[in-house]
Amino acid sequence: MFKRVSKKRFAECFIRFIIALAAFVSVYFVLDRILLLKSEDGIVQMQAYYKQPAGSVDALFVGSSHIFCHINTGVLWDEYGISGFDLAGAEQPFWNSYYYIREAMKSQVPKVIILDITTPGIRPIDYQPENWFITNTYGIKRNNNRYGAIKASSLPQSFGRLLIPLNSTHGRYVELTEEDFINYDDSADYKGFDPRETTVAFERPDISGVTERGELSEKEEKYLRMIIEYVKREGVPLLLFSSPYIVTAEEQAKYNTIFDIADEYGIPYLDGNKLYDEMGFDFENDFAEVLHLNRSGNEKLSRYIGRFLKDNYGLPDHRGDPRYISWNNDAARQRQDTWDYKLKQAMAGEDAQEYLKLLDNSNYVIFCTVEPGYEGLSEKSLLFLLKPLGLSEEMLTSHGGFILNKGNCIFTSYELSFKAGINDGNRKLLFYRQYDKDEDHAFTYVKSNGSFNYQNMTGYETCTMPGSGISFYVYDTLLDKTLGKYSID
Amino acid sequence: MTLISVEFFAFFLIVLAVYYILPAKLQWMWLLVAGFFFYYVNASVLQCAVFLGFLVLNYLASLRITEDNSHPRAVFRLILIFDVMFLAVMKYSGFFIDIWSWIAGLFSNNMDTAAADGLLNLIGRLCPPRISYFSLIVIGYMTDVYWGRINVQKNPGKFALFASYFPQMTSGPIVQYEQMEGSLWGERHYFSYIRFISGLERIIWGIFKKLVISERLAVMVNEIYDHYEIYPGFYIGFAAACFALQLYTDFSGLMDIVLGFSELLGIPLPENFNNPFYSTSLAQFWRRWHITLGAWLKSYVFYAVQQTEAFRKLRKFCKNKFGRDYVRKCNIPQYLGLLISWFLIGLWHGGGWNYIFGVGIYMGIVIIISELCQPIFARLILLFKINTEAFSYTLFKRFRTFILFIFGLSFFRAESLSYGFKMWKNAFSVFNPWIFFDRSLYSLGLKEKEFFILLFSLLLLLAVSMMEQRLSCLKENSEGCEQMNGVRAFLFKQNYLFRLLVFIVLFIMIICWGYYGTSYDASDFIYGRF
Repeated sequence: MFKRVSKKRFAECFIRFIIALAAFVSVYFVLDRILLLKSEDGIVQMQAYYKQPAGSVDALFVGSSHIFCHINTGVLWDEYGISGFDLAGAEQPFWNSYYYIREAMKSQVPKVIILDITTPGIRPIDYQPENWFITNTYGIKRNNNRYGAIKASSLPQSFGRLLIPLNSTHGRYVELTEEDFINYDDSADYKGFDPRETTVAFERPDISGVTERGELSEKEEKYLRMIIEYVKREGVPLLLFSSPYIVTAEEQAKYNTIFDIADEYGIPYLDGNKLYDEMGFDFENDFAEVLHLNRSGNEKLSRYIGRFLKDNYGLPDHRGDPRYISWNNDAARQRQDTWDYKLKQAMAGEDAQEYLKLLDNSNYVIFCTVEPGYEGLSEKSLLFLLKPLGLSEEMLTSHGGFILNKGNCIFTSYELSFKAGINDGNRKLLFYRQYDKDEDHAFTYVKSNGSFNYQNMTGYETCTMPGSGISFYVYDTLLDKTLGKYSID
Repeated sequence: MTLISVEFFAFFLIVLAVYYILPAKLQWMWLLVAGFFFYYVNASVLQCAVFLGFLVLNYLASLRITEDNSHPRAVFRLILIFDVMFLAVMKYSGFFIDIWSWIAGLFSNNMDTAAADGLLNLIGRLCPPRISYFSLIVIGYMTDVYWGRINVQKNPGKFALFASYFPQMTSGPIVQYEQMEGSLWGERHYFSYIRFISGLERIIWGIFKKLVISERLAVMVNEIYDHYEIYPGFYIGFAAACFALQLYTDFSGLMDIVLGFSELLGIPLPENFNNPFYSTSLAQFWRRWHITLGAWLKSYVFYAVQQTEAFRKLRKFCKNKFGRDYVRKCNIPQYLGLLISWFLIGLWHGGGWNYIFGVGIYMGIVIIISELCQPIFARLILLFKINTEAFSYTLFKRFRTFILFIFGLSFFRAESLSYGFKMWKNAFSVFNPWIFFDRSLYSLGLKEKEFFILLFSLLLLLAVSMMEQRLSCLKENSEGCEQMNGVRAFLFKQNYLFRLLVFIVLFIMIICWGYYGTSYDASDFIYGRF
């Protein structure tokens, strides 16, 4: 096989070859990790799941976006002390849920697994489009479950290509951000919840008369049964759950078939579309779009589910247990997110009083400008609301720039030109005023290095503060996001 | 199983591992088995049977040619006619039917199109893949045997291996028996670390050319060629230049991969490219581009044609007409031979007048005209006192060659001859040089970032080719080119870590910038279709 060479030469070549091979393999895996889509539609959930303390997840929610948009883990924690996790992927079919559960059971033994069953109704196809394929498979570590998930999800002719994520993800080099390179330490705090924030009014669907049975595909039924049998073997209770949305009769017929299968195995189930009243849904305000609840809706659903799990599965209350600090952090983030949501609602509704009330939040850094011509001071109620933010009556009498945090003014300037800023590690924000000689006017700007979330990453964003009235530009330090500007003339 | 695929790499790894374990007697057999397997997975059973039948017939004929009591001349002519007919029927039926249909149309006779379609369909199912390569290789072999230039290969397995050696079966080079005899069998091939690394480096460089440069250029080329009506003026010239670079990086990249794989097996294959864009004339260009095809035509067509009775008579006629100095004044026999060869080069690229004109007769005519005009050029040089030794003059000649080449090549990419002419008509309809300055080029399918990646990659290619030009020990001769790769030789002299770093950077560029995976079919090489 080899020509006769000295042992020294052979060893030298061998070592060089091994080093080169190791270097190429390492580079490949590093690129694979960097270029992987960091999507909250499934991949980030699985990656965060791996970081959960072993044996800490009591309620494991598995399934589609009806899990990660609907089950507010913060509410479960705040209300009942339940350590829940949304291990879900967009449009997740049963074959992916099967491998997600198998993978999940490697590090956790949940007290109950809640399986979302809505994908066969909403997306009844045996092979998902590639974008959903990616979010439901590539988050799993390289092992037999990932291999099984890819095999089950891909057409035979695509299997070889899809086995290698870089085939799908290498084009992301044009959109890489800091998030792609850094492994954030706080990702254990993330419990998979990713809510929708729009509001659309719908008519209440009536499926009370739907008794028909819709047909599941052979593949759907096979994997549903595999999940039930696997979970039974592992001795973990399973609850099938049809999450509420604007359901059609055809879709409900499919869920009826699934509930029949559940009956066959003696598995309990919850049909969310028959519990609108119990959950207290308001069809004017609780839906983000036809398939998903918004923040208001998911809070109601999560309260109901939390109570149900507490009553039927005896889940312990972990609040106060230092081992579960990450759930505390998650809940705090969810509360803050809800607060931000309300602030944005007040901005959209131009409700100045409500907006000023909500600005009183210790996680906010507020960039404020006061320009001549502002007459709002005559309104005592507004003054009353501005004071807790750190703005005194004198500060409001002449034009100036202020940075406010936790009820204090941490920067004050009445100059025509000034420059100030904050850099909390995640984000740099520059607050500056420039005098324009030609226009004989000073313009004030807030410059931010974009959003932490890659989907909204736009590089540096510059916000020009209005030339009159009192204006606020808000940065949420906890969630590292900017909430835009709002002005009161 | 395409050349750039996980399947091929896995297949090759197995071939390689077993190959070096086997003794010399079995190594070539293993290559034969691997070659047939590779062919089998890329063709239907029927096509494999046709391919095998072709080989068997030629093998038997080659034995017959060398038998004492046979009629070698008759046997050779018969097998030659069969081989040429085989190639013509399998590859050019569509072209001939089009011509026939056109002639029939002249006489108002309607052709039975259903029957023609049925026939083409049948031929399509029978036509063995890579026919353009293996048929030339076998015809060359039969001619050499007949001429007595080589000894006949009596071992059918070795004959089959020569004709079906799998790296070359992907898309050439078009080898001659003498070039392969010594390396395919006979000696034991041992694993060599240096050769292995060198081969891998060449494969990586080939993949870079194909996936990063060629596929990126293809985006713009396809956009302009497919919608040439809305891209007038300089867009057409830009597309023609881009297509020349696309084809070069596609085909030479493919050759780098093929030669790299063969190098891993310890079997050197002849080079097919030698920095063609450094050529100062079109004739030189074609001695540096697809070298083995040119060499094959020179050996088996041009020289053979010159020896025919008709050409002897023609030479005699010219001598009588123009005197003994006719070779210098007007070498009609040579020009005619050239035109025949160029016609065949064009035809080899495909059954279409665009191929026959663009990469065939046009090139031949330009070469003949440039030769005829040599005295005029010489006078002009004297008149204007041009320093022909200066770099600027060399640069001018390279640029002139490039322009002449891309004009002809543009017809290769066009759907038909008339399509090509319409495109060039459109090119001269508007004067719009601003497209190179007003970001218009970013609307051709490559965004700004992608465009800069392409420019950077082309600069890298240019730097490497400049190093090649300076460092390589290429020795051009009348038969083609034997080479030792200059840049790789240079890299071998560098420290290990530096070399490793160079190829890791190249690897990263391929992974990130390469066009592969979802929605790309980068495995489709332009010269892989023949």
